Amino acid sequence: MSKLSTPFKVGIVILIGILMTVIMVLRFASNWGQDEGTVTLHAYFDDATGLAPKSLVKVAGIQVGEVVSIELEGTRALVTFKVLKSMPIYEGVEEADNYMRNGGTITKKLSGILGDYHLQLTPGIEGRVLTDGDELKNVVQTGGAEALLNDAGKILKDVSEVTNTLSTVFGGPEGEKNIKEILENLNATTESLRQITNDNTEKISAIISYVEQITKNGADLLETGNDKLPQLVDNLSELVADLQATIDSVKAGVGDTLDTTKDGITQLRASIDKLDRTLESIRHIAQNVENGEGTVGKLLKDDSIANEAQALLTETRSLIKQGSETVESANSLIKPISDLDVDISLRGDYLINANAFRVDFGVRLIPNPSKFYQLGIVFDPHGYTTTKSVMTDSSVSGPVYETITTNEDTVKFNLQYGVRWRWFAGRFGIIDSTGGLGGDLMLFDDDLQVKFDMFAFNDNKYPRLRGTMLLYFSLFLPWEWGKTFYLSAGFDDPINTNLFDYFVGLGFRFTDNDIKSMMSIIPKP
Amino acid sequence: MLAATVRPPYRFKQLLLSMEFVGFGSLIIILLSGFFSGAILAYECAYAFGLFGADALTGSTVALALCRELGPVLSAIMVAGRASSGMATVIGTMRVTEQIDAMKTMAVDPVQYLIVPRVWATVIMMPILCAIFDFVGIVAAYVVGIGFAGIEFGAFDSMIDNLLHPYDVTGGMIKAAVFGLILSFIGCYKGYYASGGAKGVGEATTDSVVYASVSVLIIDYFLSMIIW
Repeated sequence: MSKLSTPFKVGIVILIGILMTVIMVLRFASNWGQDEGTVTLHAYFDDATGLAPKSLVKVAGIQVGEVVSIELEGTRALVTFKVLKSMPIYEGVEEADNYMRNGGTITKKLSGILGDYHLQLTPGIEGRVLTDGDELKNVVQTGGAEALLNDAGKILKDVSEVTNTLSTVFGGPEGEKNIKEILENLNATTESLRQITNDNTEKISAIISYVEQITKNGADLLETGNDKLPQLVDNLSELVADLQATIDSVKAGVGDTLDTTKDGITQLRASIDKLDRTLESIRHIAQNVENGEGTVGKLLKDDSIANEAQALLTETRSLIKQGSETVESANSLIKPISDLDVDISLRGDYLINANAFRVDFGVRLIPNPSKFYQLGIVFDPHGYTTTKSVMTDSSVSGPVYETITTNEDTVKFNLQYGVRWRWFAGRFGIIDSTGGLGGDLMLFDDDLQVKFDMFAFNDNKYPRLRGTMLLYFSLFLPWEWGKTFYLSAGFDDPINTNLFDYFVGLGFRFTDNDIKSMMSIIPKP
Repeated sequence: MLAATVRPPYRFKQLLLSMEFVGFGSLIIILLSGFFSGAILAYECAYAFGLFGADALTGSTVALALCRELGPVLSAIMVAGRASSGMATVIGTMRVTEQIDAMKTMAVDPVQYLIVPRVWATVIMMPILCAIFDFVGIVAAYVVGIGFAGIEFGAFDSMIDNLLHPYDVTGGMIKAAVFGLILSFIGCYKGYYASGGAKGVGEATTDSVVYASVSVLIIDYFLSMIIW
C-alpha cells in the first residue's frame, strides 16, 4: 500500500466517500416521489395532533405521499401534503354541507400505540382531478389518542364502580355471611319444592293432562272456525265503534243541539248568496274569453300571437345554442393558457478573466411538462468582437494600417424551443442572438442542473461552447427559499482560447406559484 | 490564513500530501469506529425499543443518530486524535528546531506552506470521512439489528427509508467540514506557537487534541440548531 502514489490514495478515499454518500442518499434516505412527480394538496383538520412533516399519506396501507407542512389557520390546522401524480384524487360532486359526493376523502389514523399518525386517503371516483394547490374538502375528523384514552378511562371508571359496588355488597365478613345465607335459603327452597312435587305427583300429572286437553280443544276450534274468525272480529269492531258514537251523541245533550242548528241555517243561507254572486262573475268572464275579448281572450283565441310566440321560442333556442358554442370555443382557447406554467429567472455571473458581470434574464413558458419555450435577454460584456485593419496614413512612405478591435452588441437575446424527457432536456433556437443548440441534465428533483450550449458557429474558428452548473440551495439545506435561489458556476468558450472565461454567480427563479403567492400578500387598494 | 490561501504560489502537492495524511491515513480508524459505533447503537436501541415492542424503529434511530450527530462528531474526534495531534507535533517540532525560521529566511511563507494545505485538506476530507463513517455504521446496524436482534428486514429497512432524509446526510457532511476547519486550525495553531523544546511540543500536542475535541462538541450544538 505504501507504494501507491499520493494522488491515487487520495482519489480512492474521495471515490469511496462519494460512492457511499450517493448510496446513502439514494438507497437509505427517502427520495420519495422524485421520479414520478407529485401533486401538492391541502386539507383542514380540527386536530392535527400526532401529524408532522414527512408523516406518511397512505392508500390501502401503501405510501402514496407525505405531509409537507402543518400550519395553524384560524383555529384549524392547515395540513399540506403531496401525493404521487399517478394517484389521481377526485374532487367529487358538491352536495349539502360542503360534502363532495364520491370525492377523495382523507382522515387521520393511528399508526401505532406510541401515538404516531398517518393520513389515510381514499382517492374518490367522480368529479375533477385535483391539481397543485387544490383543497381536499372531504376530511373525516377523528379523535386522537387522547380521545381513545378518554374513552378507555370512562370504561375503566364504570368497571371500577361496578367492582366497588360488588365489593361493598359481598366484600368483608358481612358480605360473606350474606352470600352464605342466600345459598342456604336457595337450598331450603329447592328442598321444599322437591318435597311438594314428590307429595303431589298424581295431581300434577292430572293438571298437565287437563291443560293438554284444553289446548287441543282450542286448536280444533281455531282450525274449524278459521274462515269465519276475521269476519267475526270485523263485526265486533264495527259494533264497538257504533256503540261509542251513540254514547257520544247522547252525552252532547239535546238542548244545545237545537240552538246550534238554528245558527247553522242562517250562516248557510248567507253562504249560498255569496256563492251565487261568485258564479255569476265567473260566467261573465268565461263569456268574454269565449268572445275573444280582453288579454286572456286574445291570447287564447288569436292564432297570430301563438305563431309569434312559437317563432320567438325557436329564435331564443338558436341563440342559446350559439352562446354555448361560443363559450366552448372560449374554453378551448383559454385552457392551454390556464395550464401554462411560467418560470422567471434572473442570474448574475462574475466572469473571472473579463473581470465583469454578465446578467441573464429569462422567462420559461411551459405548456406541459414535456416541452418549454425559453425567452431571454443577456447583458454580456464579451459582446461580439470584430477586428479590422484601417488605413490611417497614406503619406509618401506608403500606407500605414492600424488594427482596430471593436466590441459591440453586448445585449443579446435568447429564443429557444426545448423538449424534456425525465432528467434530460434538449433545446435549439437562438442563443445569445445566434443559432445554437443545447442540452440540460436535471438531477435531484431539478436541484442540480448541468447545461451545455453550443452556438455562434460562424463567429470564430470553432463554435462557442458554454457549460453551466446550477446548484439550488434546496439540495443541501432545508431552507424555505431553497428552490428559489441557486449558485451558478461554469466555463465559456474553452476552445477559442482568446475568449475563454470561467464564471461563478448567484441567481433566483420564481415560478408562477411563487408569483401567485406574492400577489396574495400584496395589500389591495 | 485566507490571504495566504488566495495568494500564489499554490501548494497543490502539499495539499495532496495533507489529504493523504488526513483522509487515507484515517480511513482504517474511521471504518472501525464507524462499524462498532453503529453496531453498539443498534444493539442498545434494539434492546430499549424491544421493551415496548417498537424494535422496528432501531434502524431509523441509528441512521438518524449517525447521520445527524454521531457521524460528524465521532469522525471529527477521531481525526482530532490522529491528524490534529499529528499536525501540532510536526509543526511544533519544526518550530522548536527552528526550521520555520529557516523557511522565513529562504523567503518561504511558513503559513502558506505548512498551515494552509493542512487546513484545506482537512476541510475537504472530513465530509468524505463522515460519509464513510455513516455508511459503515448503518451497515453495522443492519447486521446487528437483522442478524442478531432478529428484527424483520422489511420493517427495519422501511423505517430507515421513511425517516431518513437526504438533508440529514448532507447536513451532517456540512457539519463535518466545519469541524475539519476547526480541528485542523487548532492543531496547526498550537504547533506553530509551540515553545520550550520537546516538552513544549508534547504540551502543544495534548492541548490541540483537548481543545479540538471540546470545540467540536460545543460547536456541534450551535451547528445543529442552525442547520436543522
